[in-house]
Amino acid sequence: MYIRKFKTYSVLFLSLWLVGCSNLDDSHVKIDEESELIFSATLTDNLGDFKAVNVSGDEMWHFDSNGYAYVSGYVENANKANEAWLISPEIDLTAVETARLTFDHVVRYFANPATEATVWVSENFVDDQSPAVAAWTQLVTEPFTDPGSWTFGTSGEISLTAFAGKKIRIGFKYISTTAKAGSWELKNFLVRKGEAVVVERNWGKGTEAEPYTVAGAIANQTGENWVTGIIVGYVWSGSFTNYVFGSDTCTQATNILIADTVGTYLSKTMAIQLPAGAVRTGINLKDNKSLLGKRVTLAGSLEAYFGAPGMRSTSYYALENGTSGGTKPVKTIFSESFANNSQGAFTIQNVVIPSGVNYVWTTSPSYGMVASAFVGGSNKATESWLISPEISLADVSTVSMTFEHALNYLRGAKAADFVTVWLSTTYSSGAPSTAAWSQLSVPVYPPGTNWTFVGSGAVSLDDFAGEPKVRIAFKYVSTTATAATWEVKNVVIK
Amino acid sequence: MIKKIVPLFLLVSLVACNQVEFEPMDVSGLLGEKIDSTYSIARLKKVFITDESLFSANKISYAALDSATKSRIDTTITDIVINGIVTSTDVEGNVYKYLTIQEEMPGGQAIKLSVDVSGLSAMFPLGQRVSVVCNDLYIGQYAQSVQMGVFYMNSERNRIEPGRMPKLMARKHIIPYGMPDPSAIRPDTMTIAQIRTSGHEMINKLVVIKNAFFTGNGSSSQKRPVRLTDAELIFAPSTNGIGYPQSREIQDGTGSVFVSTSEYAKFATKPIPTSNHRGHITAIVGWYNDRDLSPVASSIYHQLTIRSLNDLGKGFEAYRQSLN
Repeated sequence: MYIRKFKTYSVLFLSLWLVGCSNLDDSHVKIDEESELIFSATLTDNLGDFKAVNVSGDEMWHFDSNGYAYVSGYVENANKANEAWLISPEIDLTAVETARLTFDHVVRYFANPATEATVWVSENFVDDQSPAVAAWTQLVTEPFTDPGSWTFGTSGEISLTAFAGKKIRIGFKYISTTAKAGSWELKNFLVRKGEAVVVERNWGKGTEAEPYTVAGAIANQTGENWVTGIIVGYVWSGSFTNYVFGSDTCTQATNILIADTVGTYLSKTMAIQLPAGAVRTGINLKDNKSLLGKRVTLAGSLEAYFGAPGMRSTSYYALENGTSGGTKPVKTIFSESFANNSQGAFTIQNVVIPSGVNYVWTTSPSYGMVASAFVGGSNKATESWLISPEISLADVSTVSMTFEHALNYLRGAKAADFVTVWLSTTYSSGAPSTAAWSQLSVPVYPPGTNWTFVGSGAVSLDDFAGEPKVRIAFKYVSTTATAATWEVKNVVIK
Repeated sequence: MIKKIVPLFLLVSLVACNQVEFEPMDVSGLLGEKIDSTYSIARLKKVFITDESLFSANKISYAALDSATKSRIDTTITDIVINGIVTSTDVEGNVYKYLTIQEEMPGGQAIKLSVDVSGLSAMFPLGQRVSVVCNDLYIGQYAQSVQMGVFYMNSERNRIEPGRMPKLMARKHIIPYGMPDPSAIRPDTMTIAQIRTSGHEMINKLVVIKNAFFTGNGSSSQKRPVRLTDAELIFAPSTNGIGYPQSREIQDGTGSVFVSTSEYAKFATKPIPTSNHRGHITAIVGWYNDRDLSPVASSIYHQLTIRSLNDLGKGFEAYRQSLN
């Protein structure tokens, strides 16, 4: 016993003596056995022994000279479809009982990071093979959210304990589609001993039923959403730092500050713009000082306000006592502008197209998608469909579509005989005739004699509310007698 | 154990109650005498820091200077002496093995003295005036911040640094005189914007920032503010053995800067004040740039060191009370 103690104290003494004599940094270096490093790669100078491999697509993970690994399917102003993997070298966990992974990263512009930016482990991946051949287990991570800037954040600790005793490869799987291609930057990859400390986050979903918490809204500055928080103060002028946590002396009615808890930090609060009208009247602290400390649920656009994450264009509020005001927003389910020569994720199916006609639908710089069968100085008989990607109407009970369109050279014919809009719940690809289509009623058609865009009016999709997969089609038909030109842009489904 | 403690307690009590009947010793006799300055800290830096690397160590010796420099200075001044008052204290563990001394004159500067002694405040307490005989010490940059000590080759990181002088050397070169007088310390009142735009003449000086508050942000690896998790809203969480100080952003309406705290400070695990507490923050101005030969405008290299939670002054009374 005493010998053991002597040994312990000797080692302790020697350690202290060595530390005491060292001339290292001012910081006090201490080795914590529970957090010994197993593997690290900064990825700030190159990819090191990491492998970049694609299952599909051409856009691969690569080293960015700004000091991180990077992948994006958004290339030359277009979204490209990819499945790109960045795979670590073998990490030996055979001698440990617990392990955890952390890295710094930033995800931006994904349609859904939960499925498009994921982390996996394989015990049988072999270099020079496709990741598709190996068996992979997805790691449970904190939700990856778009922070609204390119500032790196930590992944949080991710447990690898399930793989203790094994040799593993860790893969970062990136998915992009022609509809949406996010960007992922990654560095400071660390695997250490010790059980992961997982931070539970219940940030909400940004919906009326499950609004974001303030922390969730700060992390998801992504347009129209709902948020709930406690009114803690206001910004009295100009800068976010000119804040007051209180209401007694408030003379400012144009904004409030909300937070998840009372008595908090400025970085944990969010400024809410109160536009003139019911919202400002209802919840400003200048006229409603007793609202300090009360919970409010708000709808508006999550975007920077006073140079910090905030909410602008607030359209609706509901207080904890049941008082509410303003107008509830209708959330955009789908939108496609067709701007800048973009076809978006729409596909074109030419059902009838005579020889010598190469296309009917085409992109344009500022007129959206354009359909015409006036080719080589004469009208051609055609039928061509412009078909949307899959759209989910699963979570809505009422829904409608609007778009803008212009029509010319109709020459007295009836527009609805030549340009129509359809919806299918069964179409997946190929010829439109392979699926059932329902024609939609378009309230407003252009006169057919000029290039003036008109709004379509609300095209009701209520009959299809609740459908998980629908596709919208713009059907253009021409004859040798009539071949109008139809321009379509700014398609929005709410 | 009780048997040992009780007599000890009685003995201490008796001693404590014993009336002193001898003449108090003239403690000034235990201390050294002031040596008049022959150099200001500013001039010391200007003459002897000849290497502008992020890390460097230059010998304070005329022999080490090139002939051009020597021709511009008075080399007949054989003793190179600076004076200052100690503004640092390590009693709370956030200052470790160094002193900062600050000149008591208008426009006076400050310097960090690197000494390989724990509990340095026992030798050089807050408010202690000292004369420093600089001959043959080394002065240089540590992460672009000036320190004085000894030559040190950091073989692990392959660089030369100003290292910690041993205790005996410190006794020889750093001479305390007079009784310590903390009330004589005069921090400069500055805004964060003024600190950020000041030159290196402010480094190691003691400042007071008014109307300052903690934002709840920390620092990214690019030395920019990043939001902290709830668990990180303390002065210095454990670094899991890596050992670097932790940054916490403060603002005063004019700008943003970091308060830097060691995980070994006694107050490391105390919550940082929430943003409803705004007031005076006294701190030693630091600078840490270990990688950017050309500083990046968006990075915040300034690091403020608070010596204890008492440096959170007027305006933070309720916060300090909440910790009790």
